[in-house]
Amino acid sequence: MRPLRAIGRGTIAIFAVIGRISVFAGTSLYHCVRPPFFPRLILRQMIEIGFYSLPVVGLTAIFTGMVLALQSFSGFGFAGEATIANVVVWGITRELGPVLAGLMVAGRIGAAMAAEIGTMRVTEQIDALTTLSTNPFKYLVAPRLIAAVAMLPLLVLVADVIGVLGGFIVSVYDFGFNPTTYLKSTWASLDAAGFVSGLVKAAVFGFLVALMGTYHGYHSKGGAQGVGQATTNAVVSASILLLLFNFIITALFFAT
Amino acid sequence: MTHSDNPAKIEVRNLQKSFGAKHVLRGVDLTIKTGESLAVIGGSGTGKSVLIKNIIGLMEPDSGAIQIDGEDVIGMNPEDRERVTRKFGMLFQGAALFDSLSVWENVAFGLIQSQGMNRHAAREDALAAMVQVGLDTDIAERSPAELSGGMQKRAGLARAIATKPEILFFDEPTTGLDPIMGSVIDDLIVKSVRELGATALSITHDMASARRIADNIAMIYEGRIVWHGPVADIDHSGNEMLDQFIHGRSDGPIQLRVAG
Ligand SMILES: Nc1ncnc2c1ncn2[C@@H]1O[C@H](COP(=O)(O)OP(=O)(O)OP(=O)(O)O)[C@@H](O)[C@H]1O
Ligand SMILES: [Mg+2]
Repeated sequence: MRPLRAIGRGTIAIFAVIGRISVFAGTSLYHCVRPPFFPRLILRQMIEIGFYSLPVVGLTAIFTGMVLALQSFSGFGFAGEATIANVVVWGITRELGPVLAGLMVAGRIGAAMAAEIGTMRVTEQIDALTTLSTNPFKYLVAPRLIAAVAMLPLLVLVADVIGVLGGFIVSVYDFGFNPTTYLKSTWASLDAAGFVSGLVKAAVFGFLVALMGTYHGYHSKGGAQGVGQATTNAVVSASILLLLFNFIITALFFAT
Repeated sequence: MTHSDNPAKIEVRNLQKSFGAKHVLRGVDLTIKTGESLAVIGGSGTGKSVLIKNIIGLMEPDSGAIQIDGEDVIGMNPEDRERVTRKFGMLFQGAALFDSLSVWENVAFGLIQSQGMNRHAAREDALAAMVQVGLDTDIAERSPAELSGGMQKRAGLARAIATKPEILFFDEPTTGLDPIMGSVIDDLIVKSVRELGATALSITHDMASARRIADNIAMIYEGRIVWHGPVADIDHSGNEMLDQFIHGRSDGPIQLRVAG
């Protein structure tokens, strides 16, 4: 009976966590659509998430595009421009662009959100918001969710362009492909469904990263150590959820 | 000064609150009359902060009743709760200033967010509140992290009084300050409460501070109020627990459980 009991207890604990996160997400979404809104705070978060993540996401994308071209050249040999351009475009727009940008943002933004909100929790700043008649979900959580959902697709758009450029650089300067032909093949490989699925993924990933960052920050307790724990939990849970939802969205778009 | 004929501003009845197996509040009864300043004293971990958080609505009690101006606030719908919250101003133990905002934005926060004042007018009012608590307006643009503990407390006090609340809460207003700064803060509290005509509830374990800011004292021990009376009576109350606490003796009815 022992192992069964352990499994039962574990299952109940998992459902309890899922329940708490769902209630948190529901409350947050409710406050995203109900006034008052905080445009200044949303803008500030948009700059933080969108603009300041550009270097990290750009570097990740260019190296990934380059390595995709190298790998497909060594794998498919003389299959030519069309195949390599195709692999790069599909790989970047469908999978690697959104997933790597999402993971980078989870590390950068999810951690920062958990640390900032967690510190506000343990120093009673969140309690202070309430006594000043300001709902912490409206003031802290909603602006971050809105900004992340809005900015992640834009970041992924940039990652797509830079990733494809990385593939182009390697193909043209290393393999000596004709640039015009390569670009034509690139353009021809671009498919609407793959491209759109990548942007949908990005929006969902943005939501997950902000949700995990704010959730763990909001529920952190026990001083500096608790905030550190919340930060770690935010990044790890956001990364795992992101990969899970990547699979789910891919299945929804492309499974026949 | 007596407020015994005034109507009750805050009424707490048989308040209970547990955290797991830990029964923190075990039936607290407390009445605070309009215009009264009450200090709740008691040892560390006796549930003073939990009591204040229940009254403000930051925590839900397990059972019992809390009335503000005769209105039951437990289980109130969010709109009404917010209306009641607008009557409150609170100075937190660590000041709890928002570190992403400047000092004046902190002080003006309630004016802008809850009273809908425009930023320009709110800034004027915030500067006035800063002057009232003895803060130099030169520091208005600074970040709270650049202020000393005493200045942070003053800024927190300015933020609490800026919206002209009817009820002020003070959580250990003098803890962590030197005795002189502590008495300066106490004087500011007394002055602010008087100028606003507010009702005040303070929690503290600093007896000197309690004597300065309160009309009445209530002592909490093991989750209940064990003594409640005018500040003038505390030195001859005949209550052993109160005597032990105000004289800081280690022997007496209150036994500190050092282990566990
Ligand atoms: N959110 C919470 N979860 C679990 N236990 C809590 C929580 N808040 C308070 N407690 C417990 O309730 C008890 C009373 O805490 P409280 O903060 O009210 O003490 P206090 O009287 O304000 O003490 P101090 O003078 O040290 O501030 C403590 O034992 C504390 O561990
Ligand atoms: Mg306390």
